[in-house]
Amino acid sequence: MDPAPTIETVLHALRALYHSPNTLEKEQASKWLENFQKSVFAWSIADQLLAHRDDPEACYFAAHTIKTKIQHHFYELPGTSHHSLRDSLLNHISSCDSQTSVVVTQLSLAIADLALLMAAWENAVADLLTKFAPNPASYPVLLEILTVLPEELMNKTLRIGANRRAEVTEQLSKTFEGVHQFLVACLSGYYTDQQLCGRLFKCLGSWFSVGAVPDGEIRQSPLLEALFHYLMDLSSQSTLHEAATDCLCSALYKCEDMTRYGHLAQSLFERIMNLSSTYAQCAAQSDTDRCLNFARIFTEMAESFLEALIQFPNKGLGNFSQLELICSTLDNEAYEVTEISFNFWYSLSEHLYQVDDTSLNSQFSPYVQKLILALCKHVQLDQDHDGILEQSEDFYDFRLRTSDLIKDVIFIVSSTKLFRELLTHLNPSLTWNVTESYLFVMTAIAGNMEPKEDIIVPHVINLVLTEYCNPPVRHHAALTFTCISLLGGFKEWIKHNPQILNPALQLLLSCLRIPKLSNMAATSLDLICTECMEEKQMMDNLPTLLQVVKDVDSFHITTDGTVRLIKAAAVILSKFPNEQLLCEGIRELCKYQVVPLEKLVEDSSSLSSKDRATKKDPGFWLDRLTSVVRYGVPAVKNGHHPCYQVIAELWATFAKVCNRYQSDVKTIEKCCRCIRFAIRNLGGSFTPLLEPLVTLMVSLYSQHLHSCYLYLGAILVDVFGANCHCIKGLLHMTEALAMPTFELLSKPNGLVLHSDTVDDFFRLCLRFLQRDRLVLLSSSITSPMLKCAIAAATLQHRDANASVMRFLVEMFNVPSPSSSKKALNAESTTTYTLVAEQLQREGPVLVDTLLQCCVSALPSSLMIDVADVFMSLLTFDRPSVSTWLENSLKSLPTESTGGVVTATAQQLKNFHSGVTSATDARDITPMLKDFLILYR
Amino acid sequence: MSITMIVAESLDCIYYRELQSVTSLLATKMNNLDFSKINIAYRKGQHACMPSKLKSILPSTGGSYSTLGTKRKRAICKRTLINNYFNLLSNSNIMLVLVGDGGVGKTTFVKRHLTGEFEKRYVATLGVEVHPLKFFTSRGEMVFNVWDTAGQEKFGGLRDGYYIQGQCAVIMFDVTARVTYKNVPNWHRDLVRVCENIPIVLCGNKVDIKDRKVKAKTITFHRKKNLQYYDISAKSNYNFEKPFLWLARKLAGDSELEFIAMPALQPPEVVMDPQLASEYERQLQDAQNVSLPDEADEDL
Repeated sequence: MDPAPTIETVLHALRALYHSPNTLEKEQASKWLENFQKSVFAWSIADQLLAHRDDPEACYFAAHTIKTKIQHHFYELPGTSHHSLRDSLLNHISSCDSQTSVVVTQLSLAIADLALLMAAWENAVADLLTKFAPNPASYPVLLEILTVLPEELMNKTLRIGANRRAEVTEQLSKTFEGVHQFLVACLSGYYTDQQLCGRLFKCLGSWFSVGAVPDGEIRQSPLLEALFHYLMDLSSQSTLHEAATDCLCSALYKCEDMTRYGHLAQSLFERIMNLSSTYAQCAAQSDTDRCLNFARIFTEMAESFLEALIQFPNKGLGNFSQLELICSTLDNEAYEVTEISFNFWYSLSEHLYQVDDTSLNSQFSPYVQKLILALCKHVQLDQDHDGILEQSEDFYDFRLRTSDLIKDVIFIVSSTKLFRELLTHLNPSLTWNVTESYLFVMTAIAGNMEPKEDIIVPHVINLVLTEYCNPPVRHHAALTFTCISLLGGFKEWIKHNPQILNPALQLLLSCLRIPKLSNMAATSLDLICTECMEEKQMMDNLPTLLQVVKDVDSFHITTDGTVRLIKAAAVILSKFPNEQLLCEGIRELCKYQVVPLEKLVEDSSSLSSKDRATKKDPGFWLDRLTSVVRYGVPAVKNGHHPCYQVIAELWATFAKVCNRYQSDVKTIEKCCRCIRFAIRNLGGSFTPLLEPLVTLMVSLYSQHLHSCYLYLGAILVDVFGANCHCIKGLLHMTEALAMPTFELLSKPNGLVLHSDTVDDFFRLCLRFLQRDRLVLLSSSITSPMLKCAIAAATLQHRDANASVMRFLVEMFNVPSPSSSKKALNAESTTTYTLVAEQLQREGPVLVDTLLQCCVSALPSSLMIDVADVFMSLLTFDRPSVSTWLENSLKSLPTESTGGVVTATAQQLKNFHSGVTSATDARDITPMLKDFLILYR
Repeated sequence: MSITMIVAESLDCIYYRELQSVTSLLATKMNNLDFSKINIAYRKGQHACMPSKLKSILPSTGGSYSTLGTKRKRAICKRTLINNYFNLLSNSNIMLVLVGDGGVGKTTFVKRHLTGEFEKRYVATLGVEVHPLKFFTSRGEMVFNVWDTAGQEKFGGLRDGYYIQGQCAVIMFDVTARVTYKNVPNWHRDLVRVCENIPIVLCGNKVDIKDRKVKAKTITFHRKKNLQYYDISAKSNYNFEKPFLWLARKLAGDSELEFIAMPALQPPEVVMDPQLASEYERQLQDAQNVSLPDEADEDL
């Protein structure tokens, strides 16, 4: 952008962005304004724009621009101008009126960011207090700056680094006394101004969040007095109640660190215990908003004191009265309130599971039992509910979450005990919806029941078979629905008690024909068939099941349900002892899909988007076919695959589909998926089909670049790579696929735009290294492959990144002469030499890229993979890696423009020696994580 | 002639910002429609709009604000005014800001709507893309202008520069990547710094993938901030419309509002023609009759 744009141009672009009805214009304006913000002119123009008081949008954008400039382009300013920028910002913000609060917020952020970046501004908080605190009219502005300052401390875009962050946190703690005085002054001057009080609590919460409030005095502070006063005052505004809650939760969150906040924790615990009656009052008045706030407070407290609860049950801060408090929220009429504590129960169960102490569990057991019985009530459907509960309803999601939670906590009370308890509640006088709720909860824990249990489970199953579902349409559909889902849940028990198999299967098969129940029946059938596939009774039911699959389109059933039914049939077939019948069965299952698929291929009409997922979509049939070849996998005896012929015949269909729909990526993906399972099914027997498949893949990939062919290539290498007759052909395939891939990825932004291709390509390369390293290394594609991997290492796309990193690890994972005790054989020596050549060439760039991954490019969670690559390199050639890393570290900046020190010489030295002396990747990961925060 | 709007608890979704946009919209039409002033009635104790804020949005042409009458009268008032309000809403596209980390599926989410198809390919959004999404509701047509913003910093855009006009928002994360959930509070904080009271939906995307890293019960952030949470999947179309439906209900102030597959009725045409204006006038008179100050109301 050169020369500087006029203010008018900027205003014009802003109007287009915010008010043009034309979206293209909006996007263009956005692009222009973005370039404007990147230009160096933005500093002065934004400063002038701020004077446009009558145009709030322009003012906002100006303030936003200055903030953005400070956050991202602070280096553009010479150090000498920092002070004048600060003074100008303080002037602007003083002259803002309170109506333009968004502008005040943006300016406050700009000031806060500046204070963090500008090391020379030593006493920012003290300066701000001196400037604004004496004048009550400035209270809102000062409150805003003091609120965002601690928040910005954690803002990653500033990249101020851990050293600066620690320094500022300490400064903040030291100045908290002054801030506290100011807040108290605000409070005493405006105790009844609820809006101001709300802001005040927000500010205090912000200081709590970064740990800048020292334990001690704060316990007796009038601020806490006021906070609890407003929490108990039911006439306070709901926003104030929420602000007080947020603030208290921030404090509680910090109290998890008992060594730092022991006193505050004790004090808050006592005060919160007194909130119990206020909560009860709100619950009685159905004041859900406030109830939610209280539930949050109770839950946050118990989460913070969880350690104490487990280590010192019912003593000190582990006092069980806080569990009582949480339990009081379980009975709330609104399930939203109950749901607040779900995460606490989950964390509790995780901790108890780790400790694994039965007597400890029994102490918590009564509370968990209360929880589950309360949940039984909450999951109840309305008595006049029509049909089954649809997935699209919010209540369905809630029941799902409830079911998940029960699965997690059930071990604390024991499934058998709870089942017995639930059973006592079941009786014929209950309305259908109450019965359903108990059965729903039973379904969640059915899988935990001992197969040997011979009283409760038979009783429940008997109730289902003879009472609730006899016949299936006897009771409400939602009740039958849950009953058949419960049967599926009992699959393991049924496996050990096969006498129940036949009646259960018959019920499920009859439910397939009832529209509302068909999908759940298919799911339970699938579960039971997969679990009990080797039972003799299964064979007896096979003809019925095959008939069902044949007639499946006459049922009211979803694609997912159909695929499950096919799976059930295929799984049982695969265990069939008679080879000929087995083969015939699989052939039939395939035929049902292949015939309509072939018809589609013959048909010349094109596939429109409204045909998706209908019978006109080849994917519809391919998904079903996949289910057959994936699960109908018979045992191979003496190299003889019973169904070779059947599956080999599919090849012709696959080839037709791939050609006919070659440009339609969705169909191709589904077809490749089906081929993949066909390859896995046949294993080594697939060899005769290899050549035509590879020829087709290479030709279609070069035309359409669908990355699923690369994926398929990886499967082929995995299955046939160990076969010396195939390896040459597989190398040619890989080379042929690599060429168009390199071309695609080397286009501008190619790696980012085609991350899926990166993922699939390096999956293929990795497989090859694992199967036959030497063959690949001898090829001319190794060098561009490695270059490409290094370039792709900084990709944030998780799957792509994982594939690239695994490839790099594997690349250098070869024994070196120095590391091996025995002399290397000829092949290993050649391999070592080839890898060493690659590393000497690419090593410096690779190490530098890994360091960039750590310092800026990748999220901290991916460091575990970066550490693996480092370890692999170090094991291969420690001295070289050490030198390269030292050079790369030297090129990192040690100080930012604002004079903030990023990493000290000692920190750099420690990092270098730590990494280069490591012998285990697990030791490197924490070093990388500690190092990266110095720069972020 | 004057327009009265109510802001009552049952209408708590008429947030300050919406009220502001409606009043300014009305103000621009005032000259040609001969509106003299806008009265704003509010229910005492209502948190979303404070008198001081209301005052600030009254146009310079004057107007007043007052508390409302009895429950029954308010109900009448609510019915007629929701209709008016909705018409105004559907007359102007609603700006929805879509934010979240890069790669969580924001663009797929929008495009799924436009084309009815799902694309696996990941193409990073540069800056911002604006997509108008049309919904047919039981009250008529509603258009969300979805601002699909770049999630990755390196792909630029104006970030929170877009939020100023936002009337509602969706924050998206990926349940298979914890880090994207960890960043949700940051996205939320940036949003509320600019638009304090807009309705926001939190969406956990890709629930169809087996390797779920962020468990449903550990998604607790929305509990703390009063937002709505939905598990969604762009791939399997799971819960796809729910975020929009929730926002539409909040914005229209009608918890009964439903999406209908096709417009059962011709969506109300909201050209401010003379006939419509007279209809407004009649309704407004009704509204005025019930908007008498009544401090002693039992359920205030």
